Amino acid sequence: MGMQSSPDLLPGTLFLLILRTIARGPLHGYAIAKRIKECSSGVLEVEEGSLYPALQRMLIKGWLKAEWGVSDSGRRARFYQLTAEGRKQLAAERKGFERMIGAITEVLETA
Amino acid sequence: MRELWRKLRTNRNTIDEDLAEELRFHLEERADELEAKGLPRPQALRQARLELGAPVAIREESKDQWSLGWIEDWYTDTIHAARGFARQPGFVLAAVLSFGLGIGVNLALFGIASHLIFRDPSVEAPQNLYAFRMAGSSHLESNVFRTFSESNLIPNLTGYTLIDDLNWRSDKESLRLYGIAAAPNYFKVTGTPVAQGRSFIPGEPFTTVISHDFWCRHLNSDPQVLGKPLWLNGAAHLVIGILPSDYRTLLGRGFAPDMIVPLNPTQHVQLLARFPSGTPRQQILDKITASGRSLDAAHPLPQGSYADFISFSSFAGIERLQEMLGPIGAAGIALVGAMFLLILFIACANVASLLLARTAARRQELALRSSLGATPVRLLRQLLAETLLLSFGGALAGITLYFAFTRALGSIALPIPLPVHLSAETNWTAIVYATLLAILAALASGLLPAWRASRSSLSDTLKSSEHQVAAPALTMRRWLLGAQIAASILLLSTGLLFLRNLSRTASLDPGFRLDTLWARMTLVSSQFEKSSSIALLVDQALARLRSDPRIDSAAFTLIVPFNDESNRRTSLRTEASSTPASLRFHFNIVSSNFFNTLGIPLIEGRELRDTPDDKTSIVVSASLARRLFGSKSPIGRKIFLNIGQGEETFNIVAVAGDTKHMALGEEEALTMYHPLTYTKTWRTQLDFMVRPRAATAEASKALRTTLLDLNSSSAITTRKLGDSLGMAIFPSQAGALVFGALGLLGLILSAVGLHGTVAFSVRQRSSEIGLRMALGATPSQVLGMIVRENAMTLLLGSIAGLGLAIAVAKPIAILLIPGIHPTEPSSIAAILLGIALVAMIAILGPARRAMRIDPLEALRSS
Repeated sequence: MGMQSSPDLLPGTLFLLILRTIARGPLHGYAIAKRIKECSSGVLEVEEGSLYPALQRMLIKGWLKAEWGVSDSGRRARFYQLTAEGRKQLAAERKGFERMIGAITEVLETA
Repeated sequence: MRELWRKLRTNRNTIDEDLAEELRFHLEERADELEAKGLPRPQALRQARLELGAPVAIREESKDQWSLGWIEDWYTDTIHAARGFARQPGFVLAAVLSFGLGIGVNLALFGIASHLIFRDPSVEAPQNLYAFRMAGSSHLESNVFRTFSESNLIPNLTGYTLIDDLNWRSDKESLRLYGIAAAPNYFKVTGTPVAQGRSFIPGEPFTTVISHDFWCRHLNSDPQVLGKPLWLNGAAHLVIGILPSDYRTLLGRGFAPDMIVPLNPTQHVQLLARFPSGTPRQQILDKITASGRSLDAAHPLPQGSYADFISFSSFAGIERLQEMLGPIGAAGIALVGAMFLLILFIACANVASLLLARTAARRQELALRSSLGATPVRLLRQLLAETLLLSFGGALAGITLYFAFTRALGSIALPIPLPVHLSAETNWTAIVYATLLAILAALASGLLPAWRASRSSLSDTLKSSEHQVAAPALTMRRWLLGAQIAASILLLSTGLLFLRNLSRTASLDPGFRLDTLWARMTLVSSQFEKSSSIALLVDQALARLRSDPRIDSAAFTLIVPFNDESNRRTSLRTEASSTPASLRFHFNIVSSNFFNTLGIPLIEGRELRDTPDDKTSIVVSASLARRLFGSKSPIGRKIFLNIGQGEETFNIVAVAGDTKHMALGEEEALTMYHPLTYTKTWRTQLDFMVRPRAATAEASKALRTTLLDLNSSSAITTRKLGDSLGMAIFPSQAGALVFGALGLLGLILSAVGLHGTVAFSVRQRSSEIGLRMALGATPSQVLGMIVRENAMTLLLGSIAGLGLAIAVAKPIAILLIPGIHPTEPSSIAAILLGIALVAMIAILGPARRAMRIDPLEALRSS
């Protein structure tokens, strides 16, 4: 929804980004989106229409745990946290992603 | 799998609320941030809302992640269907009742068949337990069996035999019981369970294990019965165990013996053996053959060897059924099963017809849904879910019917002289079967209407008038109706076939008087070791009976017609022929006054006498006399019989009228009667016949007390000779009852279908009928039109049904009297008349509605 044009996320990377973002500690949905945007210097913008369904999907898969808590602003918010299974998934996805990026870069440089 | 579990475990109601709150929080946080950048609060909120987009869509998509796929879709479809049905109770009632009857009837058959036929006997690992024959015979003589079992040639060998003359004397009376006599290791080898107490131990000849039913009915379920004695055949037998209530014998067929007793040393024994699991058939055959050779050495047969004609079969699954039923029985059962499925088919056709009408009326709703994006598959699924809901309602109704039926079944006493226990199993297999039938019924009745309905497009519906859309549905309904009628006629005609057989059977003359009283006296064998003492008892009994004022005449007979087999194949010659011919005929040994007592006419000659001088006299039946001597009188002629020990000479002293022996339909009645003095060995089972002078009950009492007076420890059963026709007419009775009931049920269901079809067509065509009436058609012409249209369907259905009935009559012909065919004009006429009558009643209502259509009204509305 942003005014500036942001590149589409590579398919399958949304899960990776979310997993990596909350690897440091529990975050609520709004903070996850914000953190991703900040960390990518505003390039990667996660739409709410994709973020929340993705969070639900990851809950079902058992990678995340959700708990209601209180935000910095003092409101009730749902915090997401990695499970042991989520941590394993993060490692696996990260490896896969790095291999792919490596391969793409190789093609770009040599072809 | 873990995902599915997580989905199921989560409370589905809170997902939506949580998502809503989460999005609200998101909005507020964003608004806070914008406010911090300097926007006023209301504008900040508006901006945040714009950025977020449609929260409902996000919530929906998030929630969809939790969907259970087809299970949830099916669930919502079912809920949707249930809501729709709640508005049409009449339709639901008709459909559920149709399904319920169809499923209930089939469940009942399944229950009975599984009890009588399909369930394995109550033994352990029946697949390793074998019954076998040696020298072509299923039974071995007791001494041969003893040698066999002591030899240990086959380690797990045991044996049993059925006994039908067990005499039980209680405080009040003596009864004749049916039992199984079994070797001491019978329980151990077969693994037959005992519910209470224990089974046999070798060296205990005077013990018994009683059936649950005997314990309940005759011993009042006495909890202290174990260890108490029963007087069986004059000896006290200790009750050591009680069989389980659901005990099924190796024989199957619902045979329910009263007890199991130890084999006695004179009985012939049916061989059983258990072989280790997985023993190859060849190895079993080799083992039995080797045993046969050894037996030959100890007990040489006059001809052949015990190693000849060996056959064996296990007691599990198909093998047991093949042995028990044979190809004819299997075909018969398949036929009966198919006939029962026909009822379900008729019910399905009804529901299909109702569904066609319903979808025709709902085509606007369906078209609307399809234009809103529902795919044909989605609509098909919705419509099938509706049918499935109906059929499961039907299955519930069917199971209820089945339970009622099961309860009623236990109290039915079969009119046959054998202890057969009718019962239907109520276990999970019946429920599984009901579920399978429900799914089958739903597919059979729902697929076609649903497929048609799901393909109707919006444009078609909008373009065409009501009449055009309904026309194909109507054609299809007519086809269904025709098939229903054909199926009903098939059932009715088969029922009628048995009914005619029954009435013909009942009117057939057996050749003797059915009101003759018959007493079967079973003696305690240990009291009569000398055969001559039995002869004396018979003499005394006859003398006393004949002097009783309540009795007209009395006689003794060896063979009781319709109860005992009496076939004999003997080589026989007359004075005219020097070379003997082998002839198969019935024989009997009777006392004086036999023909008079049974009312068998003596065409020529005199009754047999009980004195030794009459020992070589015989009486022949009229047909035997004709066979041997043509039209010449046989009185005074000699015939020569060769019964093992050379030729014996007999003098014919009388010709008696022909009688039936085992079946009323039988043709040949070649019979030879010998006098009482011809008896070589006496049995402990004696049969007396009496012509009453007083009322039946009084004469029967006289008969009973006279015999009991002579020997108080004997078991006595009395009844009219006519009662023992039960076995002979039972197949016809059962067939007439079952198929007649099925046929009527089918007819009623078809009538409901016909009514629905005609009502539907009248409704759909009200404007056409109105137009015809406006153009001058009279109400009677309208009626004529409706009748004509349906008469064709009925006629074609009837012709098809009669064709099927003729085809089906072939395999059941063995149960019928020769000369009874389904094509007899009077029964065809009766069936067609019945169909026409029922059809008239079914059409009446809708036809009256059609005749009352107001032309103006009908034309205005179109």
